[in-house]
Amino acid sequence: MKAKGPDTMEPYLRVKNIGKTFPGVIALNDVSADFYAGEVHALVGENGAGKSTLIKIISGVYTPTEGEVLLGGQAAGIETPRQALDKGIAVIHQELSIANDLTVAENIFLGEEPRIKGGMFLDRKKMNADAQKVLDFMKVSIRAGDVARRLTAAQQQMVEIAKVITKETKIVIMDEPTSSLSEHEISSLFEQVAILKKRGVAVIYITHRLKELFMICDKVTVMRDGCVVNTFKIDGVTEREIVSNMVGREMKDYYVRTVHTKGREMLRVENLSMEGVFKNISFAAHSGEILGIYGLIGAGRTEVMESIFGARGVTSGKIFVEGKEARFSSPRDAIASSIGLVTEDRRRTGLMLDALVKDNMVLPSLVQHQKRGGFLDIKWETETAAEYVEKMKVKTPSINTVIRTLSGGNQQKVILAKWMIANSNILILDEPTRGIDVNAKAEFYTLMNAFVENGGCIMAVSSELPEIMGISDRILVMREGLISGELSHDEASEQGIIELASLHSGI
Amino acid sequence: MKKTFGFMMAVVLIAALFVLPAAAADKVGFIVGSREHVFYTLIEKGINAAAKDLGIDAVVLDGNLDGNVTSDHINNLVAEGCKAVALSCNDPGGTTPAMEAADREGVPVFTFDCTSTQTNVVKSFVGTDNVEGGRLGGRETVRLASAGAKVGIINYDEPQSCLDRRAGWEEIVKASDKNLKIIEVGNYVGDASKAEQLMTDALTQNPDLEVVFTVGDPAAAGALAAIKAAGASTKIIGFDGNPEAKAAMLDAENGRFWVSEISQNPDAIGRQITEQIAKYLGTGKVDSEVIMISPYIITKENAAD
Amino acid sequence: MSKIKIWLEKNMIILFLVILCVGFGLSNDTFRTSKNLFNLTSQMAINALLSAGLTYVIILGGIDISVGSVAALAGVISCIVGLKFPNMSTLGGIVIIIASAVVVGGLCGLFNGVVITQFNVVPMITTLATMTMARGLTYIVTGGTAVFGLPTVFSFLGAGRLIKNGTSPNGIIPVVTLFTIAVVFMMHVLLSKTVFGRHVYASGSNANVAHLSGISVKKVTLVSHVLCGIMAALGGVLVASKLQNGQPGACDGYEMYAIASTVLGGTSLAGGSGSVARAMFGVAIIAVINNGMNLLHISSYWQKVVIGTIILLAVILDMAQKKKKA
Repeated sequence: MKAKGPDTMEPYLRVKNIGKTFPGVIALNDVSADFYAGEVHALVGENGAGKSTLIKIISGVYTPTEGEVLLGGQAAGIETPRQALDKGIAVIHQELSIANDLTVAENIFLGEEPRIKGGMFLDRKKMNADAQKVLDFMKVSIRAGDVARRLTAAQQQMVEIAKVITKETKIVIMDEPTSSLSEHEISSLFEQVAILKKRGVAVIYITHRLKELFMICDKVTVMRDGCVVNTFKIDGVTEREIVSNMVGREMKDYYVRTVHTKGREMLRVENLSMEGVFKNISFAAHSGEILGIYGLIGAGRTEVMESIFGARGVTSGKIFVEGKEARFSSPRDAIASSIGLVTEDRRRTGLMLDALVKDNMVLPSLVQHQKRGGFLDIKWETETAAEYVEKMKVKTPSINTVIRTLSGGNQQKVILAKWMIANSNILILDEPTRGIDVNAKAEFYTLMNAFVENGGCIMAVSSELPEIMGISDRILVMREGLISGELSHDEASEQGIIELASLHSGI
Repeated sequence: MKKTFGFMMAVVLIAALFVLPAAAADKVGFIVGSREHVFYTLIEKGINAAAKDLGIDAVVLDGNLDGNVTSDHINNLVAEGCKAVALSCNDPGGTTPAMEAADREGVPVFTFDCTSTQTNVVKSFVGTDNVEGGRLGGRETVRLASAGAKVGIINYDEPQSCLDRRAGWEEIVKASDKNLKIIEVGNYVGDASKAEQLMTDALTQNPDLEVVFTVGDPAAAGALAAIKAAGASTKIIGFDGNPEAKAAMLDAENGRFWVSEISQNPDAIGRQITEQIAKYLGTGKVDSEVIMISPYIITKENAAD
Repeated sequence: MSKIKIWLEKNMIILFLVILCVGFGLSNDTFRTSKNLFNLTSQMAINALLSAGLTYVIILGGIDISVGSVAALAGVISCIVGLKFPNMSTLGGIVIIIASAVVVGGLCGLFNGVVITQFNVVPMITTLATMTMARGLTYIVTGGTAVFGLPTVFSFLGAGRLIKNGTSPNGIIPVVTLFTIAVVFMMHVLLSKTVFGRHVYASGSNANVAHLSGISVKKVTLVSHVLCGIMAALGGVLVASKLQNGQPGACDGYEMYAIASTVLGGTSLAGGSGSVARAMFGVAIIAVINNGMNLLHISSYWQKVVIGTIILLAVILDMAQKKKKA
């Protein structure tokens, strides 16, 4: 052990030679890292690299099998999440832990509500005032008295951060905080991170978005297969270096894009409108084309796509599939016209999590392949599922595995397979690579390319600029329910897209 | 649209409650044990018939055999301005406080079928002598069984009336010199289908069961189905005197098994209690504090009467 | 070794049934007679039908607590209809009974289904209302008295037995057992082997996903409630047929036994998983406990306590296994 001293550069939190084994799996192996006060330290790595296990150890969810956690130079002795919290370690999770029906102030002070004279009665006045003080300090326009349900995902995250600030937290672990935020919201989140930093908080920042590292982080630790590969100072490293550390090989460009040949028109919408949500949406999509759709959260992208799929009503407008007008009153009609939708929220609207890989894959196609009398064609199901697992390289022990146990990337492949089995030739992909790791993303893009090369048509919604620019043949940009512009792949620049998405320019 | 529809439905229902006719005659509240039992619906018939003759406005409620529900009914009837309240006191412990409260408010309380021994506010009780009924069942059992035979009883261990019947039956059967062996078929909890299962199981163990006494007609109906299915020749003695019992005894096939019935006289109970109330409201006196309506035996011979 | 362990963990319920049967068989001579075992199958019949229907709505993540009342209503109506045909043949009796069940049960189920899918009322409340209304209707149509006077052929389906011989002049195999096996088998096949069945699982597993996969979740829910109603009604008419009369108070509280059997059989109240065949093990366990304890002359009060305890244990076990999986 190093000598302890009054040295200010002593790390505030230090994990030393941590090992963690679960029955049959080594999750962490000899992991060491130092985290300093007033520093934003990123943890990156593919899914399964061990990031989550490490933060669970730091936050007291797991106890390590080997090694130790030191806090201010002393053994931390954290065995439960409660103890971690008491020692000033807070975690802001990917899935926010906000109580929807409580007010912002109640959420901020949850469990530590101020009481009148320390008695049993809640001092609501003081609570609201204190909460508002913090929110004002953060320069966010949220009122302490608002009910949490009414807030956007980004605002809820701000409330989480407000919680952290009021609790005088020393270490904040942020687990993929930007995964559901738009670019605009991300920058305001980063302002808050800067505030935390200034207050001397040690921030541990987990992300899949490498660009972000260079915007707010001081250091980055790359993990792979349960080990620490490297720790870099951010100004001494490039994005490409980090990626190659993560995947263990050089990756020239992970946005794989092949040249497609644009074919006939597959889908055309004319003046599609939905009162108060989107208006006069007109565009066409073609075979052999990936049409990217970009917009900030709330721009109406998802809503337009869901309307095309028949999952949402429209007030006016027409949809044409291969030149013929179509009326979709439910997804069933859209599916019959060979349209498939991969939703943005895999867990909620994409998968039957506790069902088998096979059952998820064949669900929309059962009717089409039923035997006489409505009986299931089990042989067809098994063979088809096996065929697609093979074809799409889904990493699963078998087609009879419960899909919950698969990684995000493999789950997403299963959803894609589902629509291919249903013979969809128009695919709507809403945030297709959200929350999946770099390797899986690359594989997914390859599958998308293969699909359009075979004459399919893809409309892909994404909030990630590099992604939309990397994969699209053409990009539609939406702003506040309107299409604000269209750019070809070659025309598109980050600057140009952001301007279309967020500036009020003459429309 | 849906909201409007739901709202309209609610309004119509509530309005219907208000426009129900209100009468001017002396209002008297009656609470029967449960409309789910024929016995009480027959008492109710007797009450309504007598009330019509005597010019009483009878409000009859269903106590669900639940002391709590019955207590609430008593309070409501008192609040409604009933001149008297009569109830079948199936749960004496649960209803006695409400009965005493009614009495304190000057509303005389009467009981029928079952009464409470925990209070002295009851002006008059009209009921079946259940112990005597049980004894009649016991005598029929002894008459029908051969010496040393197995005889069974399907009981219902919750209501006091059924416990009384059982006690009367056991008294006679045990005292008989025929040396009968008693088989406990079980507690049928008022469910005919349950009685059928119990009887089937009892017959599997004791195929030579000669006679079964049931403390209620639904149990007898269940026993009948079980006996026929098992191909046994057990004789049934029912209790209650319900119409289906008479029909069964008169039936060529079912009458071979269901041979005897201890009948209560629910109609007479209903008439008698109403008459006693009318008398009390008129003169302040009743004929007697306890009026027992005797049960009687029905067999094929007198079932058609 | 571990394979056996896995099988046992999955099929604890079967093991438990076997243990119960062995236990009762050793402690009571009558229990293991073939006669008693046939009786047992006929005693299981009603609950088997109710549970088979309930399995569908519980897999959907719903519940139907009106089954007991619907059973009673169908039972008395079949008797009222039956009284209109005093000279019915055996086959005629069966037709009357089944037709009453399909109509009454179908209508009650349709009512539940429509209220749940069109007015978005939660199944618990919808079927609570139906439970109360159906029971009320039962007393209204009967006037509170039993419906009796039906010809003997009316009881063929519920109480008849086939294969008569010297020792069993009334026959050995209960008709109701064969009928129930046939119906339950059809319900099992419909759920496990057809597209409709798979749609039931999908809708219960994740209604959003099912809807977005082109499944009409509303239609699936509606049909499942109709099926559940018909099954309940079939149970009810069998009781009426067995007793040869219609008791308005019949089948009171049977919904609890049916729900318990279904849950014992491993159908999750959260929806998405379950099976008709496995629910039958739950039905068998409850029937065996009742029958065994009757034969041992254990009081009905204790029977209730025992069954309650077993349900609780089954659910706790189920939760423990789920936790392990997650």
